[in-house]
Amino acid sequence: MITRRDFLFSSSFATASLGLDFSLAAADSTGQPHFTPKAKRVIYLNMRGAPSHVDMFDYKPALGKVNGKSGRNGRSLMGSPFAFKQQGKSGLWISELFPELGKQADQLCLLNGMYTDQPNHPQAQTKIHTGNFQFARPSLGAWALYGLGTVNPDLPGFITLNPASGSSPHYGSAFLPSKFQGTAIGRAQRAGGRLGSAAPQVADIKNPDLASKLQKQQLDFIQNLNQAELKRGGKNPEIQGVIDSYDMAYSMQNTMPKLMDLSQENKATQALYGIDKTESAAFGRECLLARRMIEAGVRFVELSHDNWDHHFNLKNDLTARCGEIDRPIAGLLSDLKQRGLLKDTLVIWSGEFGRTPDSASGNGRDHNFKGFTSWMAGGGVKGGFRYGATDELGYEAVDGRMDPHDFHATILHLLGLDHTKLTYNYAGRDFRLTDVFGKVAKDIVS
Amino acid sequence: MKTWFTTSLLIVSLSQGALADEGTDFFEKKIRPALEKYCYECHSDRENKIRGGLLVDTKNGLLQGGDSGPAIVPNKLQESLLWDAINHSGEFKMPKKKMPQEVIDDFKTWITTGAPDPRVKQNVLVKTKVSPESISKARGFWSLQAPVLKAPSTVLAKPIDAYIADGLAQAGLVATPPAAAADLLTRLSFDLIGLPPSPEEVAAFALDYKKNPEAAVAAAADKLLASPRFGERWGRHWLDVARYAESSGREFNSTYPNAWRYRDYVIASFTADKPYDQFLKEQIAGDLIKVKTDEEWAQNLIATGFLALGPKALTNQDGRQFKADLVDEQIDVVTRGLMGLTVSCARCHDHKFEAIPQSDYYALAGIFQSSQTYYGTVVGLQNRNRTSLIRLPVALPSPHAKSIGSAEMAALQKSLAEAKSEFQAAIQARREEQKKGANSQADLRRITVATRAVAELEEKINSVNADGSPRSFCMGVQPGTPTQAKILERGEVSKPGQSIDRGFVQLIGAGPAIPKDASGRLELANWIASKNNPLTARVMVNRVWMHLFGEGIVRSPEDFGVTGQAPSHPELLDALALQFVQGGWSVKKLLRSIVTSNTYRQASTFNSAAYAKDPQNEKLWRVSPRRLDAEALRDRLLAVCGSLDLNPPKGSEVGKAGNSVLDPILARISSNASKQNTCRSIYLPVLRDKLPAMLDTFDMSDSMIAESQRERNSTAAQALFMLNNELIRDCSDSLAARLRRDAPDKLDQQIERAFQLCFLRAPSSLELSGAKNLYGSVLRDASLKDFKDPKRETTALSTVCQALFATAEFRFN
Repeated sequence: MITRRDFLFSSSFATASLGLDFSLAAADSTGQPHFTPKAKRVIYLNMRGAPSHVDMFDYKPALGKVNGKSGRNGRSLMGSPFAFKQQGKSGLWISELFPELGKQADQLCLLNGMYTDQPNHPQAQTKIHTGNFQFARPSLGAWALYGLGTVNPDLPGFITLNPASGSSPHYGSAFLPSKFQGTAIGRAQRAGGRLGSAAPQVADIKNPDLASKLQKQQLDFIQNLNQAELKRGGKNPEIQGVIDSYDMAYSMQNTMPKLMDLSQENKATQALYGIDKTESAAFGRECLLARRMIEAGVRFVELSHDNWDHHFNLKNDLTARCGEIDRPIAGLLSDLKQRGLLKDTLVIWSGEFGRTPDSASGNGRDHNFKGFTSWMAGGGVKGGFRYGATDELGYEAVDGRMDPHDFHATILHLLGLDHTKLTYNYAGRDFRLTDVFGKVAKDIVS
Repeated sequence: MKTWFTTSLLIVSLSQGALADEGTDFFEKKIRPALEKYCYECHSDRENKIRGGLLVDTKNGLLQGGDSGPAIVPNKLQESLLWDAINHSGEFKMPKKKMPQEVIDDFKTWITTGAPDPRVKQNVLVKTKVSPESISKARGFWSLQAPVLKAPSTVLAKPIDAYIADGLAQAGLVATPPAAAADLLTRLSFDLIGLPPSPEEVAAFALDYKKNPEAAVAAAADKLLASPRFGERWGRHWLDVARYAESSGREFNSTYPNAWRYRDYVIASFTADKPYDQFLKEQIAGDLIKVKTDEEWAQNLIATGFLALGPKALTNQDGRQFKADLVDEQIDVVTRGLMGLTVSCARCHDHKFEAIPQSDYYALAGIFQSSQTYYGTVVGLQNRNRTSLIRLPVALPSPHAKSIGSAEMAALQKSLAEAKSEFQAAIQARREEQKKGANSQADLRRITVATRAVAELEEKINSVNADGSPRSFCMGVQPGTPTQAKILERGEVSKPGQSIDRGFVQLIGAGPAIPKDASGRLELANWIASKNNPLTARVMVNRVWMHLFGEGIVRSPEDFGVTGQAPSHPELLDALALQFVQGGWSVKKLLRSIVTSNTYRQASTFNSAAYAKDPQNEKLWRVSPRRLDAEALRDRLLAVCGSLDLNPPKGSEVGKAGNSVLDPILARISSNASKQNTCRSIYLPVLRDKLPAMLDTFDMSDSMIAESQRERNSTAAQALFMLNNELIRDCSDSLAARLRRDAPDKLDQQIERAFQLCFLRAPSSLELSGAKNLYGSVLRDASLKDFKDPKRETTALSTVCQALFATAEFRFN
């Protein structure tokens, strides 16, 4: 005798449908840009610790002339120990700290008028990632994924590589459904007294005991049991979610190790990203991974680079930090360009604030939240362009001012999303990434 | 629209006669520029810096001073700390590079002539647009009206079923017939104690149920409600509301080594069925409740840990901001957490949706500002907001605390003396350096190390009594100085407005008067835990309902306001709330009445016609299948494979580790505990941002805010965990070994038993043959050819067991 259970178990599961509508409207991405996007993907390069704008991308010849004189607050002004040079056809002024990135000047859109309202690192980092430093709010990447949806169903839509400990809100989804949260791969590790980056890895991506052929059989058995459970009908449409999650997990077991395997890239490409050099190998690997990920259909990738808090020993330490990122980022930009990806991939480089033109220690710079520089490249921004400015010494943003809300509004705009319309109803209120603020810097759009 | 003033305007007089004008002139010419040049950088709102709590950009800031006392005492040079500081003659030497002598002389003139200072801030007057009329009108909202008993139209033996029948009839739906006995006992067992029944218990229940379903269900419910495991299940639900965790979270994630005391208090309270109103009062104001014994007092102090164990940004340099955030967090957990009202939304402006003026927020803030919160945390330079802990009035030492013998104590005292002199030496060395104009990091580091050494030694010495026996500490709150909060314009600490009397949320209704010399916290506790509070009982019965049916009668359990969802069965909600209060706020009685209803007993059978009419199952035409939460899933896994240890561990892994903030240590505590501890999940360490991997992967609450309903996601990370994680593989091996021990060489029996243990049902013939096929493939596979026989078979069986763990059926109830 055939029981109902057996009957369902033996019938074809693959496409049979009970005519259920499994979609949960509230949990779905809006999936539709509001207008034609300039950028379809984002690579966000997060520089933790507040890099010094006046030594990198905000040329202040006047500061050099008043070196040693008394600045605001009675402290000595400190001219940049680094020379600036005009680069590319655009003639953007870029510091000698970036010999390679300088060659990409015509791709860069410098945002020299950035400012924020948080003078301490943690709060300022949270602010620039979520628009709010006090409350749990979804991160920029989660909003972007919520707005645009995923591209490749076999991969997570938002990945963050080696995030720092305690930074989960920076890639979290807060009240947005958690499918929009960033998938963290790897953790920033302390090694030899400073933060280094271990090769990022996906947790539980492989079963060390079971041959993959056997695991496939095991998975088929699991999915058969799940399908039977689904068909028994007494259970929840959520069962479909479990079935899908195994499909995704199985895809990831196949896609992620290959995606994360940089030996697939030839020596020339690895060298382009600086992987052949000790100082730039770690960040070079992450940049190359980022390219591989967006190429494979990940919507939003964030990379982090630490130790930009140069109160002391700015000359040596900033030289070292820039040496770690110069070649990798230059390589990323030129590689994206040659693959035709740069035109619709937005690359963003930013810290959480900037540093003072004066110096308390005599050899470093302190926190300055009133003025700093971020930059963007590709994805519909003007290359070789400079937007906004600080005063002549670099203390304060005075022109083309952009705070984190303006920054976010502009990024969403480039992704084809109107920041005032990208909302999510939570606890009875429509929330926005930009709260009630945000002004799109239309001048930077190409 | 008319504007109402919450208090009368404070008018500041700026003209004080000709003499004052002269002094003002001197201030403007000499003093203001000097303050701006030398002091503002570290001590002004303009720069968003208030080192040492001192602000010099307002008159008040100078007069009140910072952490060390008033900076200026007009006319009294020697009592003015600022004078010592600018002369480098006292504890502080500011600015580091001394001001020029003529500027110092100007300050002398200024202070000795009464320190005239025109920088009196025009007091901000924060107005409200919420009128008394609009508040009383808003009280007409359903959740703010007192619950009313309205009889259902349908007549049935159990009122709950009658209310549900009314809703079904209106929607043209019918209830689903009762679930099978096995499903029913499984449901009861997970719902009441968070553990599966054994196959034997299911069999026995099925027999009883056949004889008399009514009596069988009642008996099973009573047994489960009386189980010591009950408190571990329902206590965990409460810990979500209490955003319980054992560390501060955020960027400087310091442990709370005594938080477990609160966890144990919660478990014991639910196990003992402590009346819910008393339970709330103890958590809000346990320190103020009159008690007969010290033991009782100790428990009440531990209960106030509720207010202390929220997340904290310990590195915040702005003490005002830190305190404002601490109070805000307390207001949120007390209002949204206990009453489902989003009062915190009125921190920066009048509530956008509810009739809650901003002043009501600050009326509550005054209550919490009049209390002191103690949470401990690790000594460290970055930790700018550390506190001590509360010493318990009775000896209840932590199982992790150590005694200190007299020899060791002498050594510690000696070390302390040395550390103190090293600290002095380090300070001296830095001064010498500074005189030479140098500013070396090595000096700073030396001071840091010395400061820390002193604090750590003092902490250790103070951890024991005179006889060396360990003292007992807990987190919690204590009365502080009664104070009125100042309303803050846009919620900014630098923009204080008028003072607000301590009080409650007017929208909910008037509360008891707060005596002038009391914080009002006890009154607040009584007001919340009152039968006249329209929200408290409703919010709790709704949560209880939600944990049993997957969704509440109000589907926004933390929002009973106008932005929340309307109740699907308002009469039922009211009836339950009234019954709860009249039944002495007994959670167990409430649970018993719901789980013995026919509504709860319905099967989860799918019905496409009913689904078409009511896809969200709001009318309860069936019991929706529910996902096990992370703890129940892990406990089920360990129970099924036979390794669950039901003895509650003493203390916690975090308590054992003590004060710590180091990332690798926290990560190790968490991962070791997940791997090695076989206790119930509620006893695993709850470190913010470092939850045990399995609980984290399966949507355990992140403990940042009060939130009673868990997320329910199906993610690839969960699937990967089930397929590949060491814990799952170990449990699969354990179950395989157990099965082979119980029925050696009988594969069919082994597989059948595995299905019984995992799903409390027998496998279908196809499932059995599918399992045997998988078993056979593994057994014959070349990769296992070097394994000796028993190991090969165990591995093959383990692969089958793991598959069962990984199914949706194992994860749903």
